[in-house]
Amino acid sequence: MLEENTLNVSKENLSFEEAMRHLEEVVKSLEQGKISLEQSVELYKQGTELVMICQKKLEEAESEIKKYNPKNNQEETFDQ
Amino acid sequence: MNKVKTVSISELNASVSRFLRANIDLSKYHIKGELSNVKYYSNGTIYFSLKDAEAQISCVMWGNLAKLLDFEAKNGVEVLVKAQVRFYEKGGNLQLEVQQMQASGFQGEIYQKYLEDKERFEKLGYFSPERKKPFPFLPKKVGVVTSAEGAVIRDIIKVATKRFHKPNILLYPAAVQGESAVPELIAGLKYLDAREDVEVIILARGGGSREDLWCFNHPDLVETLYRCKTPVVSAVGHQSDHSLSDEVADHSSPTPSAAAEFVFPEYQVLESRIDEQNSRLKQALNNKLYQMKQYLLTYETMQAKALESFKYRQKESLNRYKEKLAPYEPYTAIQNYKNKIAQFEQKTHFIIQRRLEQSYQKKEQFAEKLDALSPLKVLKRGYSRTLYEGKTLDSVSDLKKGADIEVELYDGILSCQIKDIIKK
Repeated sequence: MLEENTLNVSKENLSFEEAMRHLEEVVKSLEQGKISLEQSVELYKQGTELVMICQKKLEEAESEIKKYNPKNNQEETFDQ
Repeated sequence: MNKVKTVSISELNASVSRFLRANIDLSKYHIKGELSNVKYYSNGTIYFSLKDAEAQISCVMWGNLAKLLDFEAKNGVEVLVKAQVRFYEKGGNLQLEVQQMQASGFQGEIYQKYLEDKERFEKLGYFSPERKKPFPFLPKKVGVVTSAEGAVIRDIIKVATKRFHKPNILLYPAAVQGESAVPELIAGLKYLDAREDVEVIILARGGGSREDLWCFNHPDLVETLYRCKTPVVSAVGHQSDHSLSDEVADHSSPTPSAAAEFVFPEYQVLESRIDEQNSRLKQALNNKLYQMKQYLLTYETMQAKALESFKYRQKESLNRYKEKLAPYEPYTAIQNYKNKIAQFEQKTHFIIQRRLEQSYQKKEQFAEKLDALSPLKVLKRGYSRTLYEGKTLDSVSDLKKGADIEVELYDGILSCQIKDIIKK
């Protein structure tokens, strides 16, 4: 069932997996369909936002391969 | 001047072999050591190393002798052996040919300590599944503690790139065997654990001998791993090697590549997961809307049906009332009265008719009678009527002499005066 806080998630600092989990909860609650039309529409809005967050997180990931040098406390590019 | 001779490898090895046989006789000694790298062959022959803290030597025990052993020759077991030194000419290796072997104490000291450490950590709950931390499935940055040389880090990068396309990896280079291994591995774990952006740590080492991997059983390393706040995957050696690091880590992968597979999600899988949720979201809303629409339709139909049936029932009861009221309806009532009046009329007419007929018959009878009794007829026969003061006289008693009377005859009237009255 729908958790109390699902409708009131602060979306700013969600990690990918949190956003994904909330999204899955939202989808489940919506699929169960035991809620009013107004709530359904509200959940749909939440879900759409969460989809966008997940996609953004995935797109934001930056490729970087570095090696830490304990002697000078620096990160160096790692020559493969 | 000395002439330099040339010898072949075969000759050299043969002479080394002869020298050893002639000069080193171990028949009066027990050699003490710990078994390691034990390998059984199908014919029963065992190859292994004997070692102490500083040195080791390769050994072989042929199958026919090995099958007489009264204990299981396995790594870590401390043994006493009777053996001869042999120089394997073909390979140029020195090895002990073991004739007899007995376990001295059941397990070796190092192995014993390992078992004690293991038991202690187990009791402390270091290995319990409940305290294993969950892993994020999209870690921002993955720290790796391993050697910067060799295949391990390269395998990890390769797998990570293949799966996630754009992995973010920070390597902390550390010795993975020898004296500096334990402090360097610990320093690496602590450094990466302290970093905010590192969300997962991989502790990795490729396959090696049991001795090479032994540092991963070090209690200090176990302690450090236990205290890490970042989830750690341990991938030490191959699948068959299981170290205390593997036990205490939040997850243990059989190989470094497997660790990378565990840590890095497949980009496409995540994408399709999002897509799946997205389409399910849309579908669910559509279903809800459809459901509401159906509900409304059903409701409308129900309402219409209810109305229809209500109307029908009203009509039915109205009809029943109509039937009951029908006789009292003005039109019907009038009609009824009219009918009654008509019936009366008919009856009356009939009665009057009969009366008239009866009257007519009576009249006829009267007429006949009247005719028979008619005074005119009497007068005609000679009789007359006497009138006094307009009244017919039937007696003489009231008359006086001299009174004027009239005598009516058939064809006229006589005006007379009474001369005398004679009574009878």
